[in-house]
Amino acid sequence: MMVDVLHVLHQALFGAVAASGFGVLFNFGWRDLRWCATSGALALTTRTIAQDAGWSLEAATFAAAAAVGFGGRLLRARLGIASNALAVAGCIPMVPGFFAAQAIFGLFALTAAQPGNPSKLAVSTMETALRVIFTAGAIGAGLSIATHIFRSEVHD
Amino acid sequence: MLRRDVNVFVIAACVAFLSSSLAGWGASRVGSSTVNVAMVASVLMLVPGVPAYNAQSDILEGHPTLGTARGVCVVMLLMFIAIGVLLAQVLLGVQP
Repeated sequence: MMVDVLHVLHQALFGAVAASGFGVLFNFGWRDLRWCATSGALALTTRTIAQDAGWSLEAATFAAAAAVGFGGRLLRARLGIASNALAVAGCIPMVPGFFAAQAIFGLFALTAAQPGNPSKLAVSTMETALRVIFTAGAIGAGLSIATHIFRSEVHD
Repeated sequence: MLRRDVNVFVIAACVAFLSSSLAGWGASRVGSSTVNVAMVASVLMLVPGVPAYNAQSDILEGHPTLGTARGVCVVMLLMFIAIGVLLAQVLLGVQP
């Protein structure tokens, strides 16, 4: 497997920037912003490496969310109660907003007065919508799995 | 708008319209070939990522009614954001 280090670093850098931006939006303190950036960088690094290995977007996103979730749990002693929120902030840049917009535009185009090639449009819209649902589900499942596994260990 | 108690969905549509209009106008001015992408990228901050995760989390924790309600709010918010961007695209004559 060949990993393009420059591409991974590029993704990690912009994942960190995006996660820090969301950290500011969610009113995290200055001290926690660097952890936001770290979780965003970890998420995008894992996802890029998995996609470079030939994984689908959904599988790579699931792996990245699980990595961030487990990372947050492992650092819980240091980060305190905010560890879960930091993990969520790190995963937000992976939410497929562009695909969601494309899916809704596709639905609008499909219901227009004269849609051009409706069957092709329906297939591409369905494909995009399913991709959004599966990717958002992968983020939720990846983060929740870490939370619930560690929680059950504490309670049992 | 929030201080004036305007509906959050309407705010989302207005903000999406304004930001994507600005992005589309700016991208057109500099001769970009991907004006459409610039317009969508400008509203990505509005995409309700945390409520989408919370909806799933609520269902997983045994509160399906609350999770479904949150999920519907997420879909509605996405719809209003898309309407804002679509209006901007119609106004600027950009092909979606």
